[in-house]
Amino acid sequence: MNISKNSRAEMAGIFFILPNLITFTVFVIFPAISGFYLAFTDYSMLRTQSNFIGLENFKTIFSDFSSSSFLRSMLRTFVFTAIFVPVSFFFSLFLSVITTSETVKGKNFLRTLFYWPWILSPVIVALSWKWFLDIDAGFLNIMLEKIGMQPKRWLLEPNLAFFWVTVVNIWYVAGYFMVMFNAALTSIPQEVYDAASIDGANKWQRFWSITFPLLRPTSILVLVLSMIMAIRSFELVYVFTKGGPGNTTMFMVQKVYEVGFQDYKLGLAAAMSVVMFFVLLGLTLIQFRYMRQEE
Amino acid sequence: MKKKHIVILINILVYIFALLYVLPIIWTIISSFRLEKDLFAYPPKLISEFTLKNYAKVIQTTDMLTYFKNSVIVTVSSTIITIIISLMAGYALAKIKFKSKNFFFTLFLSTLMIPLQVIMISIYFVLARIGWINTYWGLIIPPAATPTGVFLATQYIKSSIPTEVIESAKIDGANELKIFWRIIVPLCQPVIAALAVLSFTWRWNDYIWPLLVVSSPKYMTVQLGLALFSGEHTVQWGSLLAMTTLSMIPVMIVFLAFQKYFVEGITMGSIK
Repeated sequence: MNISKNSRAEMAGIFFILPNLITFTVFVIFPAISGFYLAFTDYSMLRTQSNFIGLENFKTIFSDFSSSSFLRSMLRTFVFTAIFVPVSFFFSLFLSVITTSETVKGKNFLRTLFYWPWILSPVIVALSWKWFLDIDAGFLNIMLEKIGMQPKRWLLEPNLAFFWVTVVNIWYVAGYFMVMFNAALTSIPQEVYDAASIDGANKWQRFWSITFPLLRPTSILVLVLSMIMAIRSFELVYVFTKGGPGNTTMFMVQKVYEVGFQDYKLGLAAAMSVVMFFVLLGLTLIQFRYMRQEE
Repeated sequence: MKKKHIVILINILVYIFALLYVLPIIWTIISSFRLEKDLFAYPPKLISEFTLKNYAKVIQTTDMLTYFKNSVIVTVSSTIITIIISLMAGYALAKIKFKSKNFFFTLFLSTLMIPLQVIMISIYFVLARIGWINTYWGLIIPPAATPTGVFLATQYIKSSIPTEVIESAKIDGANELKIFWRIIVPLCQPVIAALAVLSFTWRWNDYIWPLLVVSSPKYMTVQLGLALFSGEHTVQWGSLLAMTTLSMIPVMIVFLAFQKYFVEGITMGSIK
């Protein structure tokens, strides 16, 4: 009786999770495992047969440090991440302070405006900015010309292109993080501030000594999410600059994509994915632990 | 009196900042209603006549309508599937006591650790092997299973649906399937709304997944179409801007109608 009841529950349970289980197995777990195998082969879309070549792909990866190499794209991604994470953190905190401030009128309208970029697709964001920065017809260059300055080739000079790639990515996510900070900021009880005011703290002091420490859980989440986003970033930049000029804005994921689907070296691309996987694993583990903790 | 002036000044500054912030989007929308010759006029013009010619042109001369049709088919069907299978899994993981439950819950959550960007190479093999390249199946089914969806549904069902309701239905002789359709689904409206809004935005805006699945124009989605046009040697900016503006509309409507659920999804810490 008891046994059959248990096995009935087992069957019911598995039945209900089956659609997700099958899809995850076929399209996430199996590819993840087979990716490790592919990484040790010379599989190419240009040939029909492939060989097991041991660590050869990894040797190729770690011996190439030219500007078009995977390692350089990885280094570039880290530089981008190191700028993106702190700037997007403080910038979205700034947006959040504006949109929760008592002084500012029409806060809901402002929140919607700042959040607007995030509901658009990376492709639309990239194209809008590409148009905004267009050499001949972009708003920015038209303005420069109106005030008598030379128009600039915003996306054709390496440093400027990298700068705009960073700006646009921050612009894209800031509204999203702002909403997270808003949720945390509005949940801090007013009494906390009242007590501090009595003690004679000014607004600036109150913010850094009371509000900011209370935002800790949200801050950690924002930092982890933004780090993961930065390291995974691909589509926005791919449409925005195609990784150019030269390779100056080519990040890791784009490199893997191009090696795999444009050079057809799937084995090598799989090996690069494995390297990327371990970089991301550490970061995602932190997120995972954090989510369970908050639960 | 002096303080009042400062308040007004701060508000003016904030609103100027906010308008500059969204200027790239506004500029795109405005430009889409201008003739191409005005866009590239020299000396540059900021204001010119209003026209719908770009829109007429993009509909007549490109496969834009096909891309829109594909995006609608993919977004709607994938969203419906996401809702159903997430609620199913959520019900099992929250309310059915089976032995392997914890194992599967952890397995599902651990798929969060394997981002698409890392497995796109080997996913392509799987898609090719089962013949889903350039098919609606390939566009719709795989992205419909999302760990975030399962997680949201499990949390909601666990905390908001009393176990007693389920137990008493069981005593009345209802089986699990009946309980799911008659009790769980009707009580899950808030999480259904949140999932619908999230999934709609994800699928409509998605670029990487369709990029892996589709190479034939017949199955291209709006995002692929936009990227394709923007990558041409001589970009037809007038048409491209019209297409960009049109493709913003569906998600913006959904957002304005269901703002509340966007915020709920965010505070759960969901990543795109």
